[in-house]
Amino acid sequence: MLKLASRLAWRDWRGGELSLLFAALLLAITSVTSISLFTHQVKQSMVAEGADLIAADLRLNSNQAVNSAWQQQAQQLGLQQAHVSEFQAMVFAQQELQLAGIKAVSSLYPLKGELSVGTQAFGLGQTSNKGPREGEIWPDSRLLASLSAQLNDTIDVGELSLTVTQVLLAEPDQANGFASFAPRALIHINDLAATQALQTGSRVSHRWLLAGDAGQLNQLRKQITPQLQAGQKWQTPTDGNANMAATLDKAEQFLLLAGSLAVVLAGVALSLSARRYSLRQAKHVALLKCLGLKPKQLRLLYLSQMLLLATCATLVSLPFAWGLYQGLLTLVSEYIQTDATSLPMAPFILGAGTGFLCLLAFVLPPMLGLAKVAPAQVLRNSGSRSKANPSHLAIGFAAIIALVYWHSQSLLISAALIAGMAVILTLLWLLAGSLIKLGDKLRPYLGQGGKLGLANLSRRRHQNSLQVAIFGLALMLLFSLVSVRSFLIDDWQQQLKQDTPNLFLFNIYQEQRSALLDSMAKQNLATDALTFFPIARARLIEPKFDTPRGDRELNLTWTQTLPKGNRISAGRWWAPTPTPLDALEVSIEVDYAQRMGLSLGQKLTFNVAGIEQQATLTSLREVDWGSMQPNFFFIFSAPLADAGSASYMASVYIAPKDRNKLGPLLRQQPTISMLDVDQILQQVQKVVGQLSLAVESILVMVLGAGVLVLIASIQASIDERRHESAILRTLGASKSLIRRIILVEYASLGWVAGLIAGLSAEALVALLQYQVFNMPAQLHWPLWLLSPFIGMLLIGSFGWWFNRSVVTAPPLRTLSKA
Amino acid sequence: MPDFTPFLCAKNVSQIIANPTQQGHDLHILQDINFTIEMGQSVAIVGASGSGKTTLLGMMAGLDSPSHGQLFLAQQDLTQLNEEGRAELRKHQVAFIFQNFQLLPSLTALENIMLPLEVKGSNGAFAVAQKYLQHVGLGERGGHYPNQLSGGEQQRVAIARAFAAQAPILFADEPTGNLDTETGRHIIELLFELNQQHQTTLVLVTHDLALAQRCQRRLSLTAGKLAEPTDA
Repeated sequence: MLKLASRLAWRDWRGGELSLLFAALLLAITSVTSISLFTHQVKQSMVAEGADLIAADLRLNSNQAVNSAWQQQAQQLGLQQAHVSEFQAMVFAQQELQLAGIKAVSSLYPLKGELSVGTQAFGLGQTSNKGPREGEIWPDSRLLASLSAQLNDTIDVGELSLTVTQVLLAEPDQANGFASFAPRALIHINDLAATQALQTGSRVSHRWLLAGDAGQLNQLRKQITPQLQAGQKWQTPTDGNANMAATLDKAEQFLLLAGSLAVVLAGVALSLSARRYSLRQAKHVALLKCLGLKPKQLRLLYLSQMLLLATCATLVSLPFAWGLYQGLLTLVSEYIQTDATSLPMAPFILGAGTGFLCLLAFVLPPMLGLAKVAPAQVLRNSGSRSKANPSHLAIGFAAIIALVYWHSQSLLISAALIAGMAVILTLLWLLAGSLIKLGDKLRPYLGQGGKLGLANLSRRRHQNSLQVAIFGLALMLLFSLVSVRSFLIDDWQQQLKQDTPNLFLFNIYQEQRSALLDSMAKQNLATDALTFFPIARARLIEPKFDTPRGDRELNLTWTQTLPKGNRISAGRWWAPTPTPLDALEVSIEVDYAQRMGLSLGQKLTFNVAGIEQQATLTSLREVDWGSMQPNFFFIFSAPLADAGSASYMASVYIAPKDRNKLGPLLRQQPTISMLDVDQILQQVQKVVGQLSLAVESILVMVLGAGVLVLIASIQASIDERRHESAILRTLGASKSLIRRIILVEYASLGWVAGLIAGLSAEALVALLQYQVFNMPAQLHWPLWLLSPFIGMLLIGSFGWWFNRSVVTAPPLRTLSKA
Repeated sequence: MPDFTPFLCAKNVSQIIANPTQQGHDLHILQDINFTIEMGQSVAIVGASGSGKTTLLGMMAGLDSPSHGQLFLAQQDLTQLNEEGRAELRKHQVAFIFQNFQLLPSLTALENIMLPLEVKGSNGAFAVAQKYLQHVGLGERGGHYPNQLSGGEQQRVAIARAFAAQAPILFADEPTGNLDTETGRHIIELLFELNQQHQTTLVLVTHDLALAQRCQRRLSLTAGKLAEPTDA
């Protein structure tokens, strides 16, 4: 039977019967595998980027030296290790004195990412993958400027004199918290003891950096976690930077969504091709039955044939997907770190699994159903009925749900997609009748081609409804993806704005504000975007939380206007006039409030500089952490400190050409602390750049799947149209009239499908924006207006192009074949 | 001398289908048909369009089942066999020639002839098919697809396929119905020549009186009823 099956499959293949089915299967496996591989690589690259931010694959932050037994365990597992100890100390150079953050690093530091060093403060740098050697110190620009030192000078840290051999411009794991406000310097960890800067009770942060195989890292983490003590916490690349994490999360969701759409489109294309193939096979089956093949044998025959087809398609697709993936990687190689050595199996399993599942769900049911074809059909030469079998549709639908869930692992994405599909199918079904009525009314005003074209629509009412539904579905998915891509990239582009703040200024007192503005103006630095935020340090004392997060010191601010990049998600923002302290209100970042279990209306008590202040929680805010503006978990409705004693923070953008002005500015305002986030920003911009390109590349692939659906749908009815065209031509219709009929029919189908697809895509995109991407939903008016015409143009032209043979085939031959 | 053993037998066969437009007015396609066909006989079923000829042929070949009555083929009651059993019977006992040739378009002429042998699992299908293709005068056209052959050539391939199956009974449904007179005449000659050689039982449905007269027996159907058989 297998021999007969393969022989018949080969003959069908050679005769072109299987080509569309094979192409759809090929596309399903290729697109899912390559998108999955690409998503995997992008995620790996993101993790690598994140690893740069913590200078390791895994890091243990600790308030005490790391247990030596743990270090031995890491060594036994073959992991790379580095140690960092950070503390504050007074440093001296010539006559100058400055409190600085000292970072003592071991020889292998950094394990991931690179240091940037130079020979001048605030100058251009070059990369270095090693820290200072023993006897060396690498001060940052601020420290060098404040000590009025230069290269080869000596700087004393405690009791030890060290030589300046490089200027530290950036560290991969540059902390972006308040600890890093002070000027900084890097020294070798072996010099630490000699400085005698650390005494009993000194506050030191220890970081144990680890890099190596993910499995070994996980194993070590599992072994050590139960032994961790208070003040010891693991940090992974993904929680290296909240801003980056949010961007990566959205990108991953998009890639999953795009992959799921490719699965749905490939499934629809397969289902259409399978239907056409099974209709055309009806005659074969009837004849094979006449020749004595039993229904059971026929089922076995088609099962073997289809499995053979899927195996061949998988064998061809997987290398093809690999090639395509390599092509995509080449496109984005400038942006994405690639690891050519690792070959993940999961995407290949997913791709091959998709192929076989698609085949089982979409192709096999109609094929196995062929065994029911009456053999007497050959005597009457009657065609197979084109009525869709509801159970086959149900199996296909269930398979689509399963595939989307398998691919996305997200109930939300699966539900949104399935809901979108259900909405569009229902809408299309309901609107099909209205269209036909409208078409009937329009007919008297149209030319001959238009009349006959619309009459055709009317005659094939049910068949056209199905075709409109399929066109509509493909268009809806494509419109949705284009919209999602646009709003995501727009959102990311916000982070790429030229004037995104890259310098944070702290410890500014009231009387220094105008002096700072004057100094900046003198240096020709723009000050118009400078906004000052007052800061007070406080602890939340009621309710009391025992967790480290609940017990820590908080940075609070107060303002009458809702800051840029903030959105009230619950409750209300207060009146613009300051409230008295006894009616103090507080607004809290929504995720923080949820984690701490705080709810609206709750009374909270804070200890602000020794004074207890009670405030009512009146609003929860969503904060755009990607805005690079000063953002706060707690905002109060009235000042918590008087203007004279409050300190302020501000952020400002300093253009690359102006960076050399920071040294003089710092010397003019020596007490103001600066946090330079230019490198972090550049990393975010790099990620955004690579993600945008990745999204564009995936979009092209999904568009390819959508086009295949359109072709498969057109091909599905081409035999019937060829027959009709032949009859019309024998009745005297010219080729141009038949072309006009086809054009009117497909353009009308496209218009309706486009209109409904536009409406449904809007609903789907709004749902995705709100639920998946955590963004406010927006209306896309151009989509509403353009979608019917895009549908008309796309489907009209595809219909016309793929129906050329309908017009050109000799009618006699067509009729004699029927 | 042909062996006149009863090979095909119809007993009170009727076919009734429900009238979709008028309830209670069922359509009687065949009514109370009785006949016997001996092994090696050639029989023509004649009648006007819609008289039930093709329906009767389909039932005799086990492609369809009657509403009432019994049909025996090779000593087996077709009405008692399920689809599997009828398929098995067809595989070994029956060959067909259709009005519309029913060649598979994706197969070459040679492959179409090989098909029944492959279904049977016979060895040497290629050689047998080539022999029959030579026999019908298309030895050079084995690699051509049906759409590259004329109607007459397609029917010759169909005849070759039917005889290559080496079944004891051959059913032919209007074998010249789609052909011009001249080509039809050649096809009839070929059909009877091969039938003579293989001593096959031949049952054919036709409008063509000339063709019917070449058969040993004629069964005439009128509005689903069998008129008195007229032997040649």
